[in-house]
Amino acid sequence: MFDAGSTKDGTMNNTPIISINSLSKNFEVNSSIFIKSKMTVKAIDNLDLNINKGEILGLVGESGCGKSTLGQILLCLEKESSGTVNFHGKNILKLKAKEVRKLRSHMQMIFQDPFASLNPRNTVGTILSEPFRIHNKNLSKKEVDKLVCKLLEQVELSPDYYRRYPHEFSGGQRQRIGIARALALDPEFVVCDEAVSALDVSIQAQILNLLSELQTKHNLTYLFIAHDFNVVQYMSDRIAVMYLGRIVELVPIEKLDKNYMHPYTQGLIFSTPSLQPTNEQKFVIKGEAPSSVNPPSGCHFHPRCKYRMGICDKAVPPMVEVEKGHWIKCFIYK
Amino acid sequence: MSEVCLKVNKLKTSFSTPYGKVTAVNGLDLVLHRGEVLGLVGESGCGKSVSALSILGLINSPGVIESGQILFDGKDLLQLNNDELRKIRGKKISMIFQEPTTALNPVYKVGDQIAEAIMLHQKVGYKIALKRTLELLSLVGITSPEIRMKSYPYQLSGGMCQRVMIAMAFSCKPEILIADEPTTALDVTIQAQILSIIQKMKEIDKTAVMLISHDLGIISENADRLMIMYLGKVMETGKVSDIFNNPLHPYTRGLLGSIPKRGTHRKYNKLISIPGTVPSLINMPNGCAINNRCQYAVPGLCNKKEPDLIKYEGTHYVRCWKYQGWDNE
Repeated sequence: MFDAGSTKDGTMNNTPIISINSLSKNFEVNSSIFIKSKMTVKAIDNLDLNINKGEILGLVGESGCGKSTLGQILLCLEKESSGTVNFHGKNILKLKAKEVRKLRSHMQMIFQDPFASLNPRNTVGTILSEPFRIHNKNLSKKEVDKLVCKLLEQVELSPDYYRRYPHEFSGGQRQRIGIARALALDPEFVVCDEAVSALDVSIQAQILNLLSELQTKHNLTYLFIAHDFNVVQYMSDRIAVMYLGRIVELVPIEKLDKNYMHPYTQGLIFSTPSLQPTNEQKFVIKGEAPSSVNPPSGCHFHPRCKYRMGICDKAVPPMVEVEKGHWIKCFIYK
Repeated sequence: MSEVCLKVNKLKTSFSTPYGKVTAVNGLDLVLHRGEVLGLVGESGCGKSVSALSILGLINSPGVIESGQILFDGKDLLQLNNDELRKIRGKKISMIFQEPTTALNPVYKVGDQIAEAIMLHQKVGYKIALKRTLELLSLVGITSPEIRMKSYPYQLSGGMCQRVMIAMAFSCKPEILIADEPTTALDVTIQAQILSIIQKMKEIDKTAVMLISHDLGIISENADRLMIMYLGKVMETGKVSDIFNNPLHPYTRGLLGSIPKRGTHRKYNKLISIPGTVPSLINMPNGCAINNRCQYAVPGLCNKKEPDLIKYEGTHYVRCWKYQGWDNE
């Protein structure tokens, strides 16, 4: 474990709520529809990570780097290939289906596409009362209705919307319903998988503000998955940067310093368009992310790295703690 | 400012739907100068793509261009027939679309698709066209173009396909390039590469570029001038430096406040969001299009009468009552 209790800033509780140990996930894909041979996609490659109670951990990376797969494994929506995920010290990957169901009241997910994640045949009331019907069977209909109205108010929607169907709402309102559903059972841990990337900027700001308020109010722990570095930086207490199934940098937000980071993180930050154009030379990462079917040897990033050294394609760099709580997986800092 | 190559006057494009008529672009005025990049920004449904499609004459039923003029090369494009338009489209005005993998034909090799455009517009043979294709592909940064030009679109990644699209768009040295969300489907590292290629190609041919995007960051880094659109109307227009340093319209300010800036954090800076949502084009609000979401709206004025786009200073124009004699304070 390389990051246990590393964010010491007084305000934050440092007990890990989730600890991930040597987690790997391989997908088998057919190499061609005619040939029976299989290829392996290494979506997650021997990953270690702790998520502390009450923090927002931002997970950022390009498409195909395994960030969504990680979120899904944490909620037992996807089976792992090897490794363990401990939730309050208990390995949740070995639970039976019934126990997983119970666990879901503690962990929830907010999905990317608000148009696909709500059942179009159910009213908002039905969608939001379902968690109570499954997990709190002894509540009366009236009590459930009251709770649902409270939920709607919490996400700044009018309780009059109770009888409406998802298609009557805009994208931002639907995302609020998705958030209300995730928070119904007072979970401790919420995975926000690209929760704002399908929204227009003005709506995105509303949802980010809402997520931030709810986090403070309920002392929630978020795994905030996104591809936009500025959004992740704005929301998170710590940022994990992922590249082809591995975490290459883990940094508390106050230690984010452009002169002292993994070359990939540096490239990611400089590639993200900013409202304050600087005169700094734009550092554009060359080439494209290779396929995770056949990832480069050694450090996955070496073919695109401008600081590449002789050792980079031969060995996998270790995760090094360069300063308290700031970990980088790069030979430069070894 | 250098010579004008495109002028759009009072363009109005509407679509008839079962629920009523939707005016997607409502009285758009636009001037494009040679060699400049004009950014078109706005939230979804504001009419930025429809403006681009109208210019190229690509509006199909149930859409119709109701009125206006699109002056290019001394001619009004709206008066031309299909054959005449086809000679301009792809040759003098070309376009890059958002989704590169669907914009290319899946059953032809990418090299042949680029060569087709060259043969059609420049009246040259296949061999010469292929030679030019090869040059173009290496210009847009495709490694080993001899091999890549024989690939089919599915064999290329999204970034690669977008490079092919750019090569195709620049194959006939167009005077105007319309790039409609050219990088929205791509990863940020690839986005940075694609935008720098568009900039480079633009420099070579002195092309005027109309860059459509929802991302103000992209516009601030790549455009010279920008237009901010909302519900089919231009709310504010001017030089990028003027608008970003001195945003006038409450909507522009709201948009700028909504974006998390580099180095800000939720603990210290709350995002200033615009309340409410974009209304449907069928139920357009009376008066100023944004009056129901604007904190400065004056009852009796903003919800009754629509302000005009007026000059603030120089090339900086704004459509808001606040700058027309009335002040909130």
